[in-house]
Amino acid sequence: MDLAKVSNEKKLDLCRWYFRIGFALLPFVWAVNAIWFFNEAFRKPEYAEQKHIKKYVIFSAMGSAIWLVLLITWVTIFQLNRANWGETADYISFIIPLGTP
Amino acid sequence: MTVVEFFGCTLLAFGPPFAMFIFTIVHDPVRIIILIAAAFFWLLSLLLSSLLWFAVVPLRKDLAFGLVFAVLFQEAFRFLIYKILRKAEHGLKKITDDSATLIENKHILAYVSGLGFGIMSGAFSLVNVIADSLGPGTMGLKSGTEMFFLTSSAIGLCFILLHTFWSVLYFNAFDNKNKFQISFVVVSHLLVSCLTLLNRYQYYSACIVPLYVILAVTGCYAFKVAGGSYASFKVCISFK
Amino acid sequence: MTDVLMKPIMTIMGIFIIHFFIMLQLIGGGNGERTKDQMYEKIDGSSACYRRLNATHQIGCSSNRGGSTGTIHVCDSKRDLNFLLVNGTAFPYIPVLPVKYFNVENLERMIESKKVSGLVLHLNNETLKSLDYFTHDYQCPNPYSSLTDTCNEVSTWNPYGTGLLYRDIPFPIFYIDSYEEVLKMRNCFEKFNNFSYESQSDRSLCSLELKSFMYATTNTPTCRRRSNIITNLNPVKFCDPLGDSNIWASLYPLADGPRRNETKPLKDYKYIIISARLDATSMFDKTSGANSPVTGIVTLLTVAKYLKEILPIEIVREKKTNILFILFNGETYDYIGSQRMLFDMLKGYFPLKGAAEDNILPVIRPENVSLFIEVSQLGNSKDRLFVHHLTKGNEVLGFYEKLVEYGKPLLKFDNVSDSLPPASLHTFMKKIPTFPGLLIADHKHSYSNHFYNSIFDNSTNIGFQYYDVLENDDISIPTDSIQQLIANLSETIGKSVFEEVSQTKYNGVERADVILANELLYCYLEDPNCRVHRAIQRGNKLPKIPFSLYVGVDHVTNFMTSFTSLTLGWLTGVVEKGDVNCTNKPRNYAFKFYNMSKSIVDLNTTLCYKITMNTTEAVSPAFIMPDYNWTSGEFSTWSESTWSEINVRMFLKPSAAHEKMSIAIGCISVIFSFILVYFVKSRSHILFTPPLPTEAPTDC
Repeated sequence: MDLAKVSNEKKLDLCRWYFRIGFALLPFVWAVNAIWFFNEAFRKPEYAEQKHIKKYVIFSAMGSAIWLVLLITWVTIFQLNRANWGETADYISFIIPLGTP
Repeated sequence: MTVVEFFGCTLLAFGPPFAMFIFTIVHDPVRIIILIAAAFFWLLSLLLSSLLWFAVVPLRKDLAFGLVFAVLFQEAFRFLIYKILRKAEHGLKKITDDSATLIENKHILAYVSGLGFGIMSGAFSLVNVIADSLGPGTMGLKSGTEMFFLTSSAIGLCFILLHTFWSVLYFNAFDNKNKFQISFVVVSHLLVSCLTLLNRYQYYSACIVPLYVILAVTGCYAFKVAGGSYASFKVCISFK
Repeated sequence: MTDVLMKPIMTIMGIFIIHFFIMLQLIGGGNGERTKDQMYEKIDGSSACYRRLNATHQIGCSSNRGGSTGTIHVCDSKRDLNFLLVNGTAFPYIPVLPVKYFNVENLERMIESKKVSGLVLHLNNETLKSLDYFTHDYQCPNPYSSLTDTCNEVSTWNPYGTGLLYRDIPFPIFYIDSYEEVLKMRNCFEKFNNFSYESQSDRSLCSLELKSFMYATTNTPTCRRRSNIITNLNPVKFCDPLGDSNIWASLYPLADGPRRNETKPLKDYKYIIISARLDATSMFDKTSGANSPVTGIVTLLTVAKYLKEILPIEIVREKKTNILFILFNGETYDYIGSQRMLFDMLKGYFPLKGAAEDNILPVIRPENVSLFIEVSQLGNSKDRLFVHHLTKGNEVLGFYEKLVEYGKPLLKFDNVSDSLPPASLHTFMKKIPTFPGLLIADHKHSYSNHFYNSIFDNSTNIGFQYYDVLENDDISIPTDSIQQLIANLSETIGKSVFEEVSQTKYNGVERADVILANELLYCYLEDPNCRVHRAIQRGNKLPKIPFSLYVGVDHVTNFMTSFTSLTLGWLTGVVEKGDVNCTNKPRNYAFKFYNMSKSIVDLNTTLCYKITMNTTEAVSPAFIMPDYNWTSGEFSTWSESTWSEINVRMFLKPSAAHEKMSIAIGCISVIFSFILVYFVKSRSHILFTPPLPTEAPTDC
């Protein structure tokens, strides 16, 4: 969708909905929202709805950043400790690598 | 060959055509279509050659037989694409953005289709070598030398560029009904292809040196045909 | 506009791809000369060392995932190996080493140097002659499942044992049999590697790729658990329990019948068990167990035939004492077969689960066993044998005295009390200390077999030579041969058992069949297409290599097991009268009916045999008990890792210099062409003067 052809209310509506959908454990939607509306929020000349859009964009960006940090932390911890956790680690794995402890 | 060798060879063979593609083809969709169409025609010629090779059982062992006919088929299909492009000029004019340069400068069409021909032939001549040789080893255990892969990619590159130049010459020759140029293309193509037969006996330098000499000659000839001259070349490099 | 263009592009691309594949087919189909074949030389006839696991450890070898590669270095002496480990510059190396130098010291040095990524062992004729010992089992085999204190300073059973079989080795090891393949490697080594070692890393070197990647790691519980996880996206089997089948047969049927397919068990019998082990192992995927277990198996089979001849069924019925022949499988790996047999016996599952309720066969429990005679390694003795036992019971000593008596004058028996070499009997005596058992072997305090559980425990090791004779004139087979020893021992055991059962002296003149012993040794050690195997089945011709004696994994039945079980069945079976063809006779667990040859002399006359032989599962109880405590050490926990491929190939590894040159040329080509093309493109209006606006021909 080309944002240039959409009315300002529609933009706010879209941005808000993307933000809300992100709560359904979908950090990627937040990331998309933050990137997609970045120009609208910070680069375009001011218009009425921009304040709200800005708010949603910032929160989406923060949300996806937190997710990213959490995921990286978890992946690191898991990869480092998989062998030590033994049984537990095996049960939460979908793919168990061959030939490694 | 090892991964490092693989990248080295791929870059050597496909780096220059990639640069040409990026700077001269990619900005215009019509050129991309023509490039792909030309590549497709090259494939058709290969299909015919391989069918012939397949059908003529007694001569299957003789590479030279298949090779000569493959060259002839390629040139026939180059002619075919020439005819089609000339017929399609009107249509192309309607859809292309910069119809002015593309249609008015006949050499651009020739160059694009030649590059398509070349890329496909280069890809085919190398893909088998490369795909067959993934692993930790290199050539030279039983026969050949470790220069085999570099030589192959250099020859591949040479053919890609030659096809480009040949197309420029060939299209121009048909435009101007210049029989000498046509025969030059066919004969040099045959000659170059036959030179690669020497690879089997591991005379790599005996193959690659004449190949690049012919490439240089053909390149200069194509340059001249396309409207270049020594004078323009001098102007070009002195122009700051 | 782009949308308009996408369609034709996609169509063309589609046709393109189809053509591409047709072309590949055409090219792939006919071209015999492939680059790959020029680059790689397959090394055939190799056997790999692979990974096994128990409850706590992993042992054996594994390569890297894609295969371990290293520079070939043919070492003919220890000096060569030292040179390589100290001065080598082109590591990782794969030394090609004669088996003679494969020992703990050298292996540890290779591991410590970190310059070795694999090892190839080979045999050259010089080294075999000078090879005094080669055994990689423990000095005390099966240390954790044997009775404590049976292996000590006085009785170190396998004194030359290195224990390497049970080491976790960080690189793959292959053993190569064929001289030609080793020669290939040697030639390549001489041509590319074996000069100016300082500059080795600057030139292309002849290298090997060893591929034997093992899936399982850590230990059996881990790999079993991982194989059974259902949430796993790609279910992979990581390991299989070791196991196969135990073979058992009774001298005379355990039940009456069959009448209308029903049998009547003969209850309240005592049983004398004659047993031997059925398996061996080695570090590599190749076994040869002439001394252990083949001498024992052949003795057991010869005894079976002899007893069938001298002990009439009436005595067995009258004295209510039957003979059981049992061959235990997987004994090398912590007594898998006997542990399972005892487990079944104690539960009342032997000879058949649910035997008591179904009323097919009598239940046989350990307390029904009046004597347990195990036949162990015999190959290195001429006439002196040792009877090992731990119990002071009268049965055992009485039987020993019978052996001494009947052995005269050919065999001398020594009584070795309070001693028991590794044997199935350990399993029984561990649970039931008073279990009346004894073991007959050719050694007193340590194995006379210096090649225990190795690839060199072959016919040469026991001095076996086949005599192609059919008639029973004993002159042709020398009296000091292994065949004669086995026949004499079988006769002695047979007569002693006769007296044990009948309580009367044996006065007959029947001799044990030395021809059978001769044939059986030939079957197991040289050619499986021997007369005995042709007598018992009508299968296809087998390759002329001895059967593998490795127990293998539970879901694969070994040739060894099926042929031996048929042989035992044949020797203990009863010829059914009247019927010549009995393939249609009903079979149940008590009886089987087979068409087999009349004898090894008369292969073409087939008779119908009623056979009491059967097999029981020889998989450790640890794998069938759902709540088994893996750390308890009660049962064998050995499993074998799975793998996808095992192979060796030789190739030329490009030097680092050559690789750098390749990538440099590639990069220069790209950079240069980008600059040039950009330059030409930006100045094309100057470089190419536009063509004169003449009328271009539209057609020609």
